[in-house]
Amino acid sequence: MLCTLLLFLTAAPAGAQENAASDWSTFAGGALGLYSSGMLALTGSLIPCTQTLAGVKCVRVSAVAGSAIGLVSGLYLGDASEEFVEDRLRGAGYGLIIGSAVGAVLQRVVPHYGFKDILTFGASGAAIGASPKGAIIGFAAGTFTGAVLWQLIPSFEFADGVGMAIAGMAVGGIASWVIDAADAQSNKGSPELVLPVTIRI
Amino acid sequence: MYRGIISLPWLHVSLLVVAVAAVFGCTTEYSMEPQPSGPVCPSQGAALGAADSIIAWYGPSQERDRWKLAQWCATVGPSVIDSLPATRYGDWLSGDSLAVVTWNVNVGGGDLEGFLRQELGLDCRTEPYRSRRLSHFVVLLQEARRLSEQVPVVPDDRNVPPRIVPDPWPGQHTDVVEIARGCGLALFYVPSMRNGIVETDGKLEDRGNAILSTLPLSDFIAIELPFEGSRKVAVAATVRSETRDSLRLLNLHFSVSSTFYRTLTTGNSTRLRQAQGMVEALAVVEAERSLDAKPSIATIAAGDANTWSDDETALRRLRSDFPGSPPSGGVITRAPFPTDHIFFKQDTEGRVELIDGSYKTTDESYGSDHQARLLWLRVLRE
Repeated sequence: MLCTLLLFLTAAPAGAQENAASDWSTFAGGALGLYSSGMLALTGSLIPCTQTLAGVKCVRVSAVAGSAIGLVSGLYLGDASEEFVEDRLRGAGYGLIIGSAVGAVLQRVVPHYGFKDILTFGASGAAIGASPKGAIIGFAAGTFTGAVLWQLIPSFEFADGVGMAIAGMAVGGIASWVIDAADAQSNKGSPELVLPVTIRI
Repeated sequence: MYRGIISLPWLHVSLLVVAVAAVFGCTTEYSMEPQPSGPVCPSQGAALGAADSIIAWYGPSQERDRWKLAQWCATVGPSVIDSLPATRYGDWLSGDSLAVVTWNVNVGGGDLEGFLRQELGLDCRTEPYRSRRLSHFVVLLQEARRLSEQVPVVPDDRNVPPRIVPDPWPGQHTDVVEIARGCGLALFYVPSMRNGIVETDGKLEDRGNAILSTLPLSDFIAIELPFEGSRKVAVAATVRSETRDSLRLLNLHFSVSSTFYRTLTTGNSTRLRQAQGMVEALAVVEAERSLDAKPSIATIAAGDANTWSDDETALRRLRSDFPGSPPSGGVITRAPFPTDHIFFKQDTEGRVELIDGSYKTTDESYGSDHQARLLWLRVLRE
């Protein structure tokens, strides 16, 4: 009996051949990156920016910068792997559901909250869900740093600490887009070595 | 990479443009044009009360704001004006000091009579009210509570916030109108919103901003602020020194937060929007007064700005608009936030002087969830 096994010695994820880039994944990656990073940058900049004279302009610039970074990263990511994009879309879906559920609970508790707020929480959840690991790590790091600085520096106010936690979430989420895109492109560009091996039994 | 971009069909590009517009377009900055709204609830057409007819009203011009404000306005009772103090406290003479206080009394939770006694030397339990060490004062109260049979019954609680139920000390009065009249003070009270929908002792209640003074009050102004989470009305009145109007006192209360939707879509400009609206309305007031050949007068703006930090954009803008403001110092007045502030703008002749080092925060909160802030000023001899 002669069996021939093909061993794929490659740095790319298993099944990379099926996940070849497509127009769809490039577009979806770009759109999701733009949305997720833009929304994260918008949310993360709210408190820090409203401690400055620039205020809303600062928020707007942050959202534009976040969106641009997310767009480019998402295009690279989508160009490299459909699977990565599908994972992030799935995460955005989960985030949408969880965020909407949180919004629905708050809508019952907070007097002036309405249906728009449920949708907004859902939209924010989707943005976080599209890059959950980075957002969570960033939030944890921001919270820790903010809490320490709040305790140590008298002029560092409570709001600064809260702002740092949320900004950390945004930075972490956006950074995960950039890192994943760089990784995916690096993997895509690495040589794919196929070694035919014959085993005689 | 480039292959992917170049091969995008026009529909994809359009969707990207829409997505970009959705993200960037939602952080539009606010602008407002205050306009006189008359002695009625805006857009409602119903007169509030006799006092409201002598108040100069200002409000935002945006349709959304006016619609929401009208709905909330319809749930409250009439304003109250006692322009002259029932007790004769005397004139504000040149060189005399005047204490200006701002305090959020947490809907009657703060012991106002105890505060007046301890901090300002006015014991309302005894006659004559005025003790020898009493100097003139003006107290700007936020979340002042009023019970009245004139507060209307409303069919549902859609535009009625939940009742804040303070825990007053035994025998403590909580109705601001009752306290002001019991102490013989001049009063200007404008309700912003209801305090719950249920009756207390056969009366309904509302809450809002009040100005209490040992000096006569005049030139009553109410500014409906741009609507965020709830209706807020900044109120202003003027006090005279010996010969002329000398000081306008503007009592402000901004929203602590808006809805999450509005927070995102306005770039968290809740308080900035209200501060700008208030300042713009004040500018209209001053322009109107100057047309009447009235001299400019110094202005104090004080109240609960509900700010999370001492560097908020709204505070920075207010300090710019009130360049004579004393340094805030980031004092925490509602832990852990520096919410309460006093701003000052001198008149063109520089006739009012803040007394150096007089800006302080009370040690006690007197049962409220806020500490009060005080400063002293004097009018200079001409």
